Amino acid sequence: MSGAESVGDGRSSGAGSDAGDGADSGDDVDRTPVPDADVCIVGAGPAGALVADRLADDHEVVVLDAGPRFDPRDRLARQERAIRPFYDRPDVWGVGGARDAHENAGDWFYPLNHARVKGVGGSTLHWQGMVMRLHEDDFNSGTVRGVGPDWPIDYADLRPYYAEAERELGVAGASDNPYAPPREEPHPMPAFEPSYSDSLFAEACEALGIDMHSVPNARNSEPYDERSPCVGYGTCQPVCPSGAKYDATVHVERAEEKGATVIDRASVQSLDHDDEDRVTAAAYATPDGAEHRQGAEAFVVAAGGVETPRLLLLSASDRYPEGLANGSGHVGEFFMDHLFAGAGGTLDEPTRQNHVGFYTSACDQFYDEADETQAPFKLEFFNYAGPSPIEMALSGDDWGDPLLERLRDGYGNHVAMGGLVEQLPDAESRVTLADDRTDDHGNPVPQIEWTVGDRALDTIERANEIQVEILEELGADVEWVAGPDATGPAYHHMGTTRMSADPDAGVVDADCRTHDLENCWIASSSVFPTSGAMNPTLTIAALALRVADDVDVRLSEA
Amino acid sequence: MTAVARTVYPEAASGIESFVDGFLDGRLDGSAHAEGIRAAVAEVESAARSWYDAPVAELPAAERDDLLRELGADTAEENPHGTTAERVRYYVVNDLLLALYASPTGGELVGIENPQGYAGGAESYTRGPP
Ligand SMILES: Cc1cc2nc3c(=O)[nH]c(=O)nc-3n(C[C@H](O)[C@H](O)[C@H](O)COP(=O)(O)OP(=O)(O)OC[C@H]3O[C@@H](n4cnc5c(N)ncnc54)[C@H](O)[C@@H]3O)c2cc1C
Ligand code: SF4
Repeated sequence: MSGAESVGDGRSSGAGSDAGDGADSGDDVDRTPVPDADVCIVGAGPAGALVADRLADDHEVVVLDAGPRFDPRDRLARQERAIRPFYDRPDVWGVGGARDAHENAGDWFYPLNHARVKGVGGSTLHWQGMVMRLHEDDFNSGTVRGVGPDWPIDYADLRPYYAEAERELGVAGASDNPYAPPREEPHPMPAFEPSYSDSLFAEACEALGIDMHSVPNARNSEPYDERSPCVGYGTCQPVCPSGAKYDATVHVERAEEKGATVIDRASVQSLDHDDEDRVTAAAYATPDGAEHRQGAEAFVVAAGGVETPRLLLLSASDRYPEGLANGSGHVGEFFMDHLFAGAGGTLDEPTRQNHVGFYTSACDQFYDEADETQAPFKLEFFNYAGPSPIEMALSGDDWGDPLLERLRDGYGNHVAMGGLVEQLPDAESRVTLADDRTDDHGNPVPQIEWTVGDRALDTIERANEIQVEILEELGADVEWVAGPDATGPAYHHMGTTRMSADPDAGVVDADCRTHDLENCWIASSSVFPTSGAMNPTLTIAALALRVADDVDVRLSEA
Repeated sequence: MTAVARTVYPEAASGIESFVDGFLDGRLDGSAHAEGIRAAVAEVESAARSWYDAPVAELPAAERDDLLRELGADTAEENPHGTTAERVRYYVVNDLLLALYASPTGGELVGIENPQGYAGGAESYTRGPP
């Protein structure tokens, strides 16, 4: 291991990926457009990578990503960055600087650069890898719960794609969750065993009549897809050095093997169109200062929940003065995230935390109680409560025996629960272009106005009540509660190019194709009309596979 | 490094010399980080010679501790590009602490045989306390 700073010159604030973040900057890389491309995909996160992989056998596919291609050999150094106090979270994957500048407006602060990674693999390089299906009612919130729009598709439409997505990502899970939506086959890998602390929680939950069950992980519980099983590094979020945690480099590599071209550090500045409502090219900038145009028959925008609406807004033209695909006026509106609800404390016995960086048990029992006033929410039983000894060791004023004593005092008997809560779509919660700030290419940066309504805040309190009840039953001293005043986002950007059958009410149709431009699709959680309370990426993956099928059909028809 | 380790590691850590040798074998790999370690160690060494007239390895434990504190390495926040104190904290003190507490050797002293940063397998989290 060559040290955390071997992947770059320290913190990334200042210059973003251009700080030579140790990513394979590849100055001799050919970043010129591919002639006669069939499909151009913007973004090499899981959405873009899955579309590329699925289409690459039969079509000429090009993927453009704004960020770098990271060298897999640097992962231990990135892990060290995750542990050492000198580095902030965004430094681990070189996020920040002029490339990633943004503005916050409105009451709620949104820490955007903690919530994404730019580069080949996208935000899954940093993610935790918890992958659940949305519940059936999540697709019909308006009808069943009396709030928000229904999706123009149902769980049944996505169900086969969910199964495929689970195989593609490699999901370890079990069928012991009575609250999960129906599934047709077991998960591709067995679930991870419950943790020791799960066994402590289990007694308390049983006494209270609260059900615990396993939780699906996009993480190998056994060798899968030529990737290692989890070896317990415990730093899953923000980096898994072993490759046991799925990230989208898996599908990028597979797509490249099938002949797709993936161009890194190719930041798409705008999409061009003709007079017949077709996108004709993606204009992109490369590190040498050149600007290129990638033409294609079909375009798939998969740039994440913030950059996707931004790119459409940046592509405004005389024909589309409000931005591309924005006939509805809804591009950027309805920005949502999941809200965190949590509580924790200490027991008077060891709880064995921080061996691994993921959780193994959850509770979906209260999810479908949701109605007009209560949002769906889920509960999680953490395996990483309290401080990690190594992080404590690196930031004190002590060493030797006093340090060891502090570590022994600080580590060992923490317990904690988390949970995610749905927020309703609200047009005032939105991504727009900032008036007075530009990025490294002179484009207006995204401005986030994040607002959260009372239904979500009240539901956080409800989740807290259950969490505290469980912790007290466990005999814990409850030391913190993350309630409505201390909540934060789960880093799931959703809603900003919502799906609707009605062109006036949404940006894309039920196939995730933009209403306004016939050869342009969006693969992202930005199409979610409502968010449910399940982590979004399995749904993103399922939708991406479905987008690929639709693109394939339409290209064949043409 | 071994002499500093005797100060920053707890009494209970045994086999310090071979532990540090093993760690440095991997760490002094010709990289920029290895250079950083060498330079910071040289600064500690030169401070020892000018303030205490002896190499670090020959200082009694109390003076080694004083030396590191006089250098400011106890209160400094680590920084690979910072002041002497911040670099000594980064390359010497924290590199040693990272080596120890991200390994089972140090982890076990605290009660975690599979600490963060160590690939100790995906079973230890399921086991109860020994
Ligand atoms: C800390 C953290 C933990 C998370 N944990 C979970 C979890 O446990 N479960 C879960 O389901 N989800 C989780 N997520 C969310 C998950 O990472 C995202 O949902 C997922 O990565 C989104 O996939 P995507 O392909 O739509 O976008 P991204 O993965 O964000 O990829 C978008 C890509 O587009 C590129 N791009 C952007 N703009 C442009 C442009 N103009 N030109 C070219 N390229 C561009 C970016 O460089 C990026 O590589 C987590 C996220 C974070 C940050
Ligand atoms: S605990 Fe498993 S998944 Fe997490 S970082 Fe370690 S090896 Fe990767």
